[in-house]
Amino acid sequence: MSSIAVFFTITLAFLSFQQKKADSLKFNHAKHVVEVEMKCVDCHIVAESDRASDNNLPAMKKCEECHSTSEAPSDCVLCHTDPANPKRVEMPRRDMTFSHEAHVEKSQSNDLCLSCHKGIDKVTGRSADAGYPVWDDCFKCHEGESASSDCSVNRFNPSRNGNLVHPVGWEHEHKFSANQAGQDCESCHHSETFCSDCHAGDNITGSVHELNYRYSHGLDAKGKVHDCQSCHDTEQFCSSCHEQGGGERPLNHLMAGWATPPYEHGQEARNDIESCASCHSTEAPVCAVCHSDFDGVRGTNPPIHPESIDNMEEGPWHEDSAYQCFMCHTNTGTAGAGFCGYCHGD
Amino acid sequence: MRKIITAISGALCLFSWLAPVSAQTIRGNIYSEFYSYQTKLPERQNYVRSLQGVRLDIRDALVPGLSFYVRGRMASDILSKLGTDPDFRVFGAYLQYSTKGDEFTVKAGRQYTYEGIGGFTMDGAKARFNYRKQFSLTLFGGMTPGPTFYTYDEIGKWDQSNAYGARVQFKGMKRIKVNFSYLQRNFNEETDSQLAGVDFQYRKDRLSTAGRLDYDIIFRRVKLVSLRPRYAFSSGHSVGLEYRYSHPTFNLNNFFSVVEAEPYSQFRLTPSIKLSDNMYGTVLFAYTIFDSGKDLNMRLGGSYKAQSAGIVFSDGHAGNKFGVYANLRARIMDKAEVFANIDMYSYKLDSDEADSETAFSSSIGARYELLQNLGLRSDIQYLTNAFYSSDVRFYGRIEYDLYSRQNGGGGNK
Repeated sequence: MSSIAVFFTITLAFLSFQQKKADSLKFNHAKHVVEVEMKCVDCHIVAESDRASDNNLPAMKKCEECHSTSEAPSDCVLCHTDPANPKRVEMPRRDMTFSHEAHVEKSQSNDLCLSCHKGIDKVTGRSADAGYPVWDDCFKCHEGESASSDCSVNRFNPSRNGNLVHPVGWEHEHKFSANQAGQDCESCHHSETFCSDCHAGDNITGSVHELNYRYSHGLDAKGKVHDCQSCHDTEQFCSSCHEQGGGERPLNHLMAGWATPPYEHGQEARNDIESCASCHSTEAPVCAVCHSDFDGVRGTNPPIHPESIDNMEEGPWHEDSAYQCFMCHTNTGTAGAGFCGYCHGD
Repeated sequence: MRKIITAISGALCLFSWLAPVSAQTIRGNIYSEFYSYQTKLPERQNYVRSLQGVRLDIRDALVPGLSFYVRGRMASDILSKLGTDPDFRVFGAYLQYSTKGDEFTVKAGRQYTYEGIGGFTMDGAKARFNYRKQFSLTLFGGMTPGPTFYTYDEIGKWDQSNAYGARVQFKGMKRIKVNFSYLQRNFNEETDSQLAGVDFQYRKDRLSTAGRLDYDIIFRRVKLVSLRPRYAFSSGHSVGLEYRYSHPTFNLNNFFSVVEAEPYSQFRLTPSIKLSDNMYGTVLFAYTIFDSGKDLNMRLGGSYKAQSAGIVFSDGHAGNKFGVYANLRARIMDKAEVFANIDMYSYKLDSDEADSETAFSSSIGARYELLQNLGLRSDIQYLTNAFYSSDVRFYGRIEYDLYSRQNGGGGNK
């Protein structure tokens, strides 16, 4: 437990350090935009800004046009939370191309700015991280006809832009939303191109599963926490490691009553047959050691079939004399006898 | 087949060299990875795996609407050659053509396919017809891996293993989409599985709901039912629910197809609480009901600017687990960031086991953008687990993102 406490302390310290570092300037947008009725472009000179990385924040001399600094340093607290240690506003990294110039060339009204920077006119405190548009807003105009909806225009890299486009936890949630009405992943992500960046199959960096997942994945697989089949074709993927005889037997296989009365393995198999299939080869199934039609008479041996198999009138066993049915059942090729006699009478 | 795929891949790579003359958009990634680790059983052995990969996506090449895509990698070991080295794998290599308004799209070659039911890689073709964004019909078919393949390069001939199917999508209604799917897989000229499904997506304001039902035609039973509503509050909070019923079904050529497997039901609750502009509290609560057991799985944590930390807890049918995780990152300068990932927990794969296993994994690394689009990454990984009390691994990667776009492009293919 002590190690867990240390772990949390370090984590919280790390996070709180980052929180504190961002908060150095304050600015009351509401007062300037609503009360003083200033235009956004009075301070933010964006008419010639054609890159997202441009710093369009006003310099201090812009503030000095209205606010006297002769009383400094006492007046410094108007903007600086820590006047003794003033910092420049750190511009976040912009991994996209965006031209303010192209968007405001027809109008420089506040309404136009606020159509993207929603709510910034109501912010009274710290302005950092507030009022940036979300991707949905872009698509209201960039719907693909009057304006392109191709993200390659903007060279946008969502993975580097945190929660700007998708909400937190999106790496786990996106599979659910991929089919939602109105969602169109391919408008931004060319499916195979983008998906394969993470879903590469031979991930060795821990970005999908943790590094020790090889040893503990049985928990998630057996508990159905993750749908392994959403990425892995389990019938093949599991068996590449879990080949019969290749590893240690699970402890429940050693329990009394596992392979002897009351045959606990039967219930376990019915509960989680996918778990059985992950270790036991389908080419030399261990089940057939006992579950065979030894006497050629139907119903006298331990049953393992689902009821629906009784309704299967057509099947590969008619054409293929080496079909897997004949691992357990006797292929007599004669009506009324053995396996064939189950359905075909005298 | 491998030679054919190799030839196609080579041709596409060549095209990538020629295509800039006319291509409107080229995206790609070339990487080289190195991963060192040591096995101690049955004897001490060092490995340095080398993985070289390429992904290339060329759109509107030569003629508008014509696209090429290829992704593959080659793996080999620098110190200890494995029997399969060099391991060459082509994940995808296809040619695509779309009409200007996306009324018709056809894709031919090796491709991953998911059309409502089942996902697999095939060497084949897929065609999609769209009618006024209200209705679409997708048809696909191709050669697939057999039941016991280990690599995608073992995709069989048509009479050995193939799959085909269709998906119909009705998208014309304002708030709801309804889709119907069919998939048939064949092995050695016999039907191996037949699945049909219907799914829908509904969205109104802040409520979205998705549901699906998959039916196994051969075994005449429901294979999957899922209903998944989600509500996003204006305050930034959200809550998701899910009910899932699943009845495991194996293809006929799998021996386990004859075993009377029983279904299970699962309930999931996934609330997300917005604590501040960039800080969220996240919860995963999953409760699964099997025929003779129940399983509880919880994950409680928080997220701050793409970083996360929390605890995991599970108990029941699948064993038990308790531990913590954290994924942290910090940008130390404009072109460099450092990160650390930590997982630490004790677990039992079976609740009846007497002792718990302890697992700890961590990686500390850095990314650096050496030049524009040229990136470096290196990790040091440290693991302890059931087999190794101390396991140190090194990972390095250099990659180049290729991007080129000519003026005048448009569309969203």
